Amino acid sequence: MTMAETDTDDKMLEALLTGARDAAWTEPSPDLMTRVLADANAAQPGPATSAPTRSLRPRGGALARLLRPIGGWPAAAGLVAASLFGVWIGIAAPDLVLPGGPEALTDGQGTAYLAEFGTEIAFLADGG
Amino acid sequence: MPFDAQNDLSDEALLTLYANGDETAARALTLRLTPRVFAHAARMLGDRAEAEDVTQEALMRLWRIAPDWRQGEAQVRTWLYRVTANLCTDRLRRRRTVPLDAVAEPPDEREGPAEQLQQRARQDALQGALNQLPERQRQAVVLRHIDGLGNPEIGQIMEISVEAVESLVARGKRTLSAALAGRRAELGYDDG
Repeated sequence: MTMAETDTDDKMLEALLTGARDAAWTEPSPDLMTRVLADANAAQPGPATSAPTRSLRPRGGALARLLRPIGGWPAAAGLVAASLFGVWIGIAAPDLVLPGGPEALTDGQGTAYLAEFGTEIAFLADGG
Repeated sequence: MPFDAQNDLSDEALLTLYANGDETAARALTLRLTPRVFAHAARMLGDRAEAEDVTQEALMRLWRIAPDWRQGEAQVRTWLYRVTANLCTDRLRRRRTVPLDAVAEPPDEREGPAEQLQQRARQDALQGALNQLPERQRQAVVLRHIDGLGNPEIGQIMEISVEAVESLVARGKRTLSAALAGRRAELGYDDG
């Protein structure tokens, strides 16, 4: 084989290799593309989450559901405490709230006036 | 992220997006990598059906490793070529003999009938000659002259030195030239 022939063969090979780059038979079929994409989607991890998903279903018993509209157990405890305090006021109020008793409101010496407590206790003045 | 905006992203960045659940990244990676992997496998195996199996398997391995991919340690393309080459090697060793006319080439509708025949004859001749090369020479020639990779990257894929790549490519091309020497006229290269 002469040098010229070798050179010609090399050029032919270069042309064949260059032509092979866009050969139709080495292009993937649409079916293969679809299968690969399906694999990718199936194997793909889900989006990152910072906390486990919590159930949206309401939890607790009937009493808990009854208390939920007013704020649940903490609010109920507050209500009970306020009620007890009211009862205690009712028992101990004469000395605590009105030093000297209800009579002090009508003896002309005090600076408190029944009108400031509302009309509901006006009977104290009438009765005294 | 919009699909169009991902064209400028590297393979590694897309793989990170994919691992974080970005569906458009899965599509972008599939469109970008599948043709490369398939073309390489088809050249190595000379058979479309087998190349499809290898492509699907190679990319499945990529999807699975995505959550553990370490940025900066390897290029996705290099890793994928290496996996593809190993899968091809396994298949070639299993079947031992490679049919010379294994190319099931579909007609290229972009050209006229005469050009199609000529192009097909050339591709058949090239693939037949490639099939006769020793496996490592074939891989080096395909990666260098058809896939268009540089010698350093080929060295990483084949896990050999750049000098060894050059040697494999040179020997492979000499063998190809010799195998095709008597077919110049038949392939339409007789005018020099």
